[in-house]
Amino acid sequence: MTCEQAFNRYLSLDKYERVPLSVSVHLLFCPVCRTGVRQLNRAEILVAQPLSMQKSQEAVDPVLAQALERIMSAGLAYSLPDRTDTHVSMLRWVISGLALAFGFTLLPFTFMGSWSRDVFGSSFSVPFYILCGVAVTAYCGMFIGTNIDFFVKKFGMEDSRAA
Amino acid sequence: MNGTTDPQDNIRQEEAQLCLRILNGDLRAFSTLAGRYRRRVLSLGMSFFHNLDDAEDFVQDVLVKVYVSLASFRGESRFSTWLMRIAYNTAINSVKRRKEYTSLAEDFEVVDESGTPEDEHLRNCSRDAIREAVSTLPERYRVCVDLYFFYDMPYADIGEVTGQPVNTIKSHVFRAKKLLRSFLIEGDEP
Repeated sequence: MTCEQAFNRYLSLDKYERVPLSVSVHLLFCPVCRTGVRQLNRAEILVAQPLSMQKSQEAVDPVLAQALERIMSAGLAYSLPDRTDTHVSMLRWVISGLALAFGFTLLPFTFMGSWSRDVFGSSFSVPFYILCGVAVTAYCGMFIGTNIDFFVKKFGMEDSRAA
Repeated sequence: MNGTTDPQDNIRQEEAQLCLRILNGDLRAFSTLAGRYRRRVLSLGMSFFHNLDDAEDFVQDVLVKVYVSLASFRGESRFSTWLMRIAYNTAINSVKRRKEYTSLAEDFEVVDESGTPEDEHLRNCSRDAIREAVSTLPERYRVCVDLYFFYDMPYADIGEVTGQPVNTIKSHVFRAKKLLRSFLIEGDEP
């Protein structure tokens, strides 16, 4: 590889790009190119230095302060998270729903369920199954209602509404 | 070409945390983040508007836009790239802007007096080379060369900011680098 070829390969590299092995080997044995690369590299660093990422300034910057004032006065500032947020995760909803369903399914087979059925007969069974139905329906309603965004996105209801 | 990727990753993580704090209502985090890039945005403003008052108004506009749009920043690109894209689009669409983009090497001096005489020589060579490289370029490519050299941005990021093809950017930057190389050789000759 000639000096010209090596230098052209070096010049075609991007910022932070690894130098190819062939160029590195050439630089190892060619002090002229090595000096040239060192100078070029230093020049690039120096020219970018004034606009490099600035450390946080202690003094209040008037332009920044005015921008912040505009944000505040236009009511665009992001609000602090609501600490009393009562959002219930999807997992909790599912676990609670399964526990509810399990409870209703197993109750007639427990001692208390068998005794109630034996003693009260259909006077127990009918209200019990009505109660189960109402409770499960109400639970599902609350579950869907509080997670409506999820269901709209999941089942693509937005598109069908738009269409 | 002049560094490793680890510091970049650290900066990215730190900025992601700052963004999260801003979205949680922490205005001080926004001051920290904006303070880092204020000078870059101001320099871009100077290149487009050619006077400090308009450039400072431009910085304000950009900062407000960045703040308002922060919720839509997904972290797929670097924060600085995303910010510069907003700044570039704001400048391009501004009614106040002058017709010609002026390279930082041509007009607005980005001054940094620190360093040795050799550093000063290298800085001057770089400015001369960039000035010559951009002098024959159309406006939309001048900004690309500036973004590479003065704003320290890789080709892909420049493409993202300006919407120009990466290969075109590469060829213009390559030419500028070749000029820089020849200026440095000339400077070394007795």
